Amino acid sequence: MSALLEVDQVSRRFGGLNALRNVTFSVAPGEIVGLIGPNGAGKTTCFNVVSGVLPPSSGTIRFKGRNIVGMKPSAVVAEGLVRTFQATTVFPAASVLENVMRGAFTRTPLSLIGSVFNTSPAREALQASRERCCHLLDRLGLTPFRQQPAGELPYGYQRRLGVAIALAAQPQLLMLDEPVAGLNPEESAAMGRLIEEIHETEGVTVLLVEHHMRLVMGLCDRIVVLDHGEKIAEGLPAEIRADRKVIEAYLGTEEVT
Amino acid sequence: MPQLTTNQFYLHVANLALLNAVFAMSLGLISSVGQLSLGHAAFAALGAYLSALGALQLKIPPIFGILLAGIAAGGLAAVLGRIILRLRGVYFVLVTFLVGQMCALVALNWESVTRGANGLVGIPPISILGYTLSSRAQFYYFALSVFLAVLVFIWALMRSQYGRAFRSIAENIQLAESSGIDTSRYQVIAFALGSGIAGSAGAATAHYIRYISPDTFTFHDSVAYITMLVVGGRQTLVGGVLGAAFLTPLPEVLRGFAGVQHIIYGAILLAVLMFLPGGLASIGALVTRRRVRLETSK
Repeated sequence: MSALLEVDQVSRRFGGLNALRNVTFSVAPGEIVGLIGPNGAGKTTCFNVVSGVLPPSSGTIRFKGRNIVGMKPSAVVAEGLVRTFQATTVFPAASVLENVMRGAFTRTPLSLIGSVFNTSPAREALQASRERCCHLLDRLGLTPFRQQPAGELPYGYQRRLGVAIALAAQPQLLMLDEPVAGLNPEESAAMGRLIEEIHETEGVTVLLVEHHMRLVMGLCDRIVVLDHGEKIAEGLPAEIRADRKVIEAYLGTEEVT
Repeated sequence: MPQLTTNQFYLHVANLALLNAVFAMSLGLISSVGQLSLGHAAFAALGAYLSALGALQLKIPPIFGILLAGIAAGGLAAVLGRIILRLRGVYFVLVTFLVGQMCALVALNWESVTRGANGLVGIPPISILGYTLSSRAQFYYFALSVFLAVLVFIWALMRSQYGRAFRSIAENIQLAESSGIDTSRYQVIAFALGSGIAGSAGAATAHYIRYISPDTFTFHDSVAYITMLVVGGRQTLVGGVLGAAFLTPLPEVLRGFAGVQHIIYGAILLAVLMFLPGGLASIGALVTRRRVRLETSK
């Protein structure tokens, strides 16, 4: 089985700091892969490099076999690789539905000029997109908030909306940056179930960065561990839990539950 | 207006208000991607000089000159925008300020072409199919149609997928890019269209007042357009229109208060900004919200 995403010998330097050093890993279609590591291990840099926000200093990144290094983030999204953010997850002033419509921007097949003149094909394409977005809101339990400004939503729902915006772009690979950061235990569990659910029903491959150990161990098929910008381990959750290097670098005295 | 009054002065103020509304709306188009241009008047000046020189030296009919001026100003903005729109916030504002100052210096010092501080005189009026718009009343209808065309164009644009992209960029550029919206491309589009409209409106102004110098469109005019936009309401299309309609005649209305007119002018601006942060355009929404609140409290 050929990999969906191949990160090959990727390095990223900031001045003298090696934020990523020769990191290599791959994600196969249908997997849920976790990317973990202590603070400053390079997880977020890795996300930014893969999604095109930052160019790598060296190395190649292939998505569906194509090199995506040097592509703009928006072009990477059009290819089917979509990410979420830790902090800036929504468009606060726009309605919840409008948020998702913006996420669906690249998947709304209409000519832009047609949309200025409001031609009937453009209207139909927009209507189809709106229906798809409403359906998506429905599945994520956001329908009651549809017309509300996203910034007024409770925090847990804003995180959920962030996932909805990403899903609206119909990703093949969904990259989630700390999806449960700042959520309470119930909300975290609900988010975990949501990720599992969309993984199954949409057939989306998932790569997630997360600190929440229980979530990562329970959810992921495979885990990649970074420390000081280098990959120190990769394997099944059970293997990672028992890996001496990982325990030393990351878990230390912390108990893994 | 021409039916209401034959007073040439009122007609002149009405014409200026229409032109200012076009400047403020086109600046609003740029601000809809979250960027503030302090060089808007420079694009107006560029359009004005191009069309005036074209008419004086190459005998290009002003109506074509106005169109060409818009295309040239928009083209220049597109090239410039590719470079400077990477900057955001105050950095972009500063660079547009510098571009504006550079244009003013070129107009002042390139005397062989622009006639320097003397400016260009005897610019021909607009003529359409042999019908010359030489009076203020005649120009009024031209300005009104240009104003309406720009209003409808920007309205349609903001309602379309372009508008959706623009608003996304203004609200959260990082998320917009990650939603697949090519943020640099749409920012260039907004900047080029807004500056192009300003170029055409500047050219129309030159053929209306028949004279142009480096003092016709200055930094102060750029600030005036921003003020109109903010006072009228930055978030809505009618904001720029209301701001122009309110601020263009205001100095004339205050003429009776000689000596303190600038103080009153400043106080009105301050009052609008303090009590109506959404601008004049938000009055309607405020009234309905208050009414709803009254009804729900009953």
